[in-house]
Formats: sequence, C-alpha cells, structure tokens
Amino acid sequence: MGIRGRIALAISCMTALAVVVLGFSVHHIADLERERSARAYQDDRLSSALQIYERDGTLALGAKLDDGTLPSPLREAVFKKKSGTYVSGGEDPRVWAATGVGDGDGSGPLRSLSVSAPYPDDDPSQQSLDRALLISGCGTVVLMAVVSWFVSQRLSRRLRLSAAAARRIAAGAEPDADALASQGRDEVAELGRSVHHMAMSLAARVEAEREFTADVAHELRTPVAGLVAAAELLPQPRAVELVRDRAQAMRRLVEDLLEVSRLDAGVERADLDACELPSLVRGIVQRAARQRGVDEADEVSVTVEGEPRIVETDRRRVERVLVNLLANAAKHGKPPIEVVVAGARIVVRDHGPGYPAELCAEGPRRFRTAAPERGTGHGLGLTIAAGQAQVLGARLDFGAAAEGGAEAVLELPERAGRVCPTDP
Amino acid sequence: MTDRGGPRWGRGRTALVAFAVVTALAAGGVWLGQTSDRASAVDAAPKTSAAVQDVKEDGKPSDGLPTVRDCGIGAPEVKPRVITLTCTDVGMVATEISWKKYGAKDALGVGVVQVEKTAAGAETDTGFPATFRLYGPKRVDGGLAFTSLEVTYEGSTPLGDTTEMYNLA
Repeated sequence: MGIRGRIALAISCMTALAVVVLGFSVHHIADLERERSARAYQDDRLSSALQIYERDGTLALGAKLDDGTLPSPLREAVFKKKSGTYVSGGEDPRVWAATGVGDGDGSGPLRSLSVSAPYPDDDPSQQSLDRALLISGCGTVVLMAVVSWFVSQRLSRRLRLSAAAARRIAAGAEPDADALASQGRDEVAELGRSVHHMAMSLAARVEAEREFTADVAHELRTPVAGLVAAAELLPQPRAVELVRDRAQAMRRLVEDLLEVSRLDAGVERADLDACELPSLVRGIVQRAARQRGVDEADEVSVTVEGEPRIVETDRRRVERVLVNLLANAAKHGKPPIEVVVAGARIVVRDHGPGYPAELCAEGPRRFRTAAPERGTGHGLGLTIAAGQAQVLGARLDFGAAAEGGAEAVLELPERAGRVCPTDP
Repeated sequence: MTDRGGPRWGRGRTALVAFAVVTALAAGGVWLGQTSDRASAVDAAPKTSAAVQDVKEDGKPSDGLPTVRDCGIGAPEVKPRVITLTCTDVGMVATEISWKKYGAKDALGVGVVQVEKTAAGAETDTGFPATFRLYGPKRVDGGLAFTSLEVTYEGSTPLGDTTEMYNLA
C-alpha cells in the first residue's frame, strides 16, 4: 500500500474511532436524558394524582393504590416514608413513581400510591437517533477517507516526483535542479533538496575520478614509452629483461587506464560483424596466453553446449572481455579454467576462492581489488571487461559456480544470434 | 525492503488491535452503563415529595373570594393548585397552577395539563402548558364559587382544540 492509501486509512480509522466514541456517548447521553425526563414526568403525574387523592379521595391520571406489581425496591422506599421513581426491567419495562399515603399516626404510610408508564427498550425516537448516528457516522468516515486521500495525494505526488528524479540521476541523467530543489520548507522539500545535493556531490566525485584516470593515463604514456625504448639500450641482458618486463607491465597498466577512461567518456562504439561464437572463443583462448600470461598450467578448456551460433558482435571487444576474465581467473583463481559456450552465452569458471561478495553485488570498480584471497592487482581488468560488455550491449554477471570458484557469465545480445549449419 | 516488511505489518496490526480494543472498551462501557442504569436504585421524586408537604400544610382561609369546587362536588378551595378537568375518568388534570390574578369576578393562572391518554391514544412523556381562566362566580351551597373554566393551550394540545371550556358546577 502506498503512503497515500496508508494516510487515508489512518485518518479513516481515527475518524471511525472518534465517530464510534462520539456515537456511543450521544446514544448514552440521550438514553440518560430519556430516562430522566420519563422519571420527571411520572413524578409530575404522581404529584398531581397525590394532590387530587388527598383532596377528593379519587384516583386521577391512572394512579393506583397498592399496586401489586409495584417493584419491591420502590415499595420498600415508599414504606420508609420516601417518594421515589424507578425504572423496572424485565419483560415489560416500565417507569414508576410512587409515594405513601394514609400516614395516620406518623409511624409510616399505610398504602402506596403509584403511577407507571411503559418504558420500552426500542423507543422509536431513540432508534431514529441511533439510525441517524449510524448514517452520519458512516458518511463522515467515507467523507474523511476521500478527503484524506486527496490531501495525501499531494504529498505522495511530491514524493513520487522526488523518487523519479532520483531514479533519473541514478540512471545517469543530469540532476534536475527544478524538480528537486523546491522552495518548500516542509520535510518533503527537505528530502528533495537532500537528494539533489547528494546527486550533485556524487556526480562531481565521479567526474573527478574520471578526469583523474584520464589525466594519469595520458601523462604516464609518454614517459613509459620512452622507458620501454631506453630499456632496449641497456647492456646487461638480465637487467634488460627485468627492466623490459616491468616497463611492459607498466605500459599495459597505462593502456588499461586509457581504455577505462575512454569507456568512462562513453565515446566507444561497437563495430559489429557476424562471427561464429565457438571458433571466436577458441581463437581468443589461444591468443590469451600471449596477451595476458594465461599459460598451459591454467588448463583452459573450451566446451560448446548446444547448437553453435553465429552472433553479430564486435570481435575485438569480446576478446577484451574474455581475455580480462581469463587473466583474472589465471591470476586470482585456480586451474582448471573452464570456458563454456552455450548459444550466445559464454561462461568463464575457475576453481579458486571465488569473487568477493562486494564485486558480485556491485560489479567491479577500478583500483578496488577486493579481498586478500583474490591477491593483488589494479582492479582494472574486470572494470574494462564490464565496460566493454556494456558497449557490446551484453550482460556480464559475476557470481559463484555451483561447485565453488568464480563464475563470470557474458550474455551477448540475442539480436542477430541464429543457429548455423552444424558442419559445413 | 523485505526485512522491513515484518515490523511494518506489525505496526499496522498493532494500530488495528488498538482501534478494536478502544472500540470494544467504549462499547462495553456504554453497555455496562446502560445495564447498571436499568437496575438503578430508587430515584428521588422531588415534586411528589413537595406535594406531600403541601398536603400536610393545607387549609387556607377563603377571604371571601370565590372558591373552586372540583367537579362540582369537591370541597371548596381558594387558589387551587390542582383542578380535575374530566371528572368521569379523572384522565385530564390541570396541575401546578400558579395564579397571577385571583379576583372576585375571575381568576387567571398558568399551569400544566396532565393527561393519561391523548387523542392519539398513546401516553406522552410531557404535560401540556396552558393558561387557565376561572369565571362566572355563583353562589353555591351558601358560598361563592367559580362555575366555568377556560383552558388555553400554549403549545401542543391533547385533544386538538387550543381552547377548551369546562363546567365546574
């Protein structure tokens, strides 16, 4: 239930409660008043009847002498020299008034003079009052529900606008200052402003990170290239090898950073052409050894499940994704590494400790190399893999394999996937 | 969000339970109040008690003013507080009469007519306020007594007529 419905329900419940309490109170007060006036009227009648009886000895206004049906509490009161009124219950509820007469010697009345009138439980006026209370109560509750629905609609609409604006920002849109930075002074406006400020601050931070990566990569490229060239000129073969290896590693890092910054800038476009996925993957795995140090010891196996597919995709980018996944598996996981091609889906599985939970939940982040069990690294490989997959329009999910170990699933878009002839 | 589902539902249920309990308490209170009122003790009857005192203190001198003989047969009384209107069944009685003027030729007072049965056949729970005018004093049995009574109702009427005439002789 939305906040609108909940506010309407709460107000309706409170109104219903107030109506119930008020209704019962009015009913009760009306009942008391009815009884009071009935008693007072019988008192009037009895006083008149008493005056006539005392004067003329006649029984006026339906008064009775020594009525056998006089309720016993009233009878007791009368013979204690008290005049009183009484409401009797039972089958035939009546309101009574009685007094004593014939107090000859002062010891107490000899006889009782009483009047009575029916006092039905289902009094028509009381019933019509109850009916009016019920109808007006229900009407009030319904009216309050409708009114509170419309009142809470306004609040709810502003919250939904804020949520929509926050969603747009999360999806990558620019913060909409008009939608969020309202001038109101209430809590909803405050929330909107907070979301706006948070979005602005996050966007600024992301932009700074992006610029930093691009700048660093750009600035490092030239000296690293010079370093690689200069290493070639060193006289000692061992030193040359060491310096060359480190310089190459540094160049790869710089290239990765540049790739990350290009992906960040959103200028990369996929260059699509049709290719048979299993053979593409086999070629990539063979080349991976040369590119990223995936060697024989890693026991990389390629399995094809189901019909081989021809997929319209960007070979180079699929290679970047797969090579980075394989390099990550070789570096942080344990052999054997399995690559399974099933339709347009490529699964890379290793038998190491698996991806850290944070990575599975939030995806890879640059320079964030998770937990110690995944060893050290720059955290750029998987960032690039995820970025390239996005350029391809593919899905890249990181998770855990059923039998343990890390499992990355690359799901290429189905747009041009079709079954190719099995054996040409 | 799922982890907050439980407490939120719990809050809603608590509110509903609170609502039900308060409603039940209110209803129960009213019901108890009603039942206890029904079995109520004997309440005081102030007017009857006052009438009992008046009856004991009765016996005013006539001062030569015309008297009223109730239904023509009652004991002569000056400034009577009660006058029987229908003498056959004693179902209509003028009560609580306070006399504004009580002269030798006529008398004017206000009071309430109590009726056992109205024209509609049902008992009412109030009297009928009216103005009473006594006139036509005649010498009856050696004393001066009013012979006619005019009753003018101020609001609703027991028998339909605003003005009724009664013969007291």
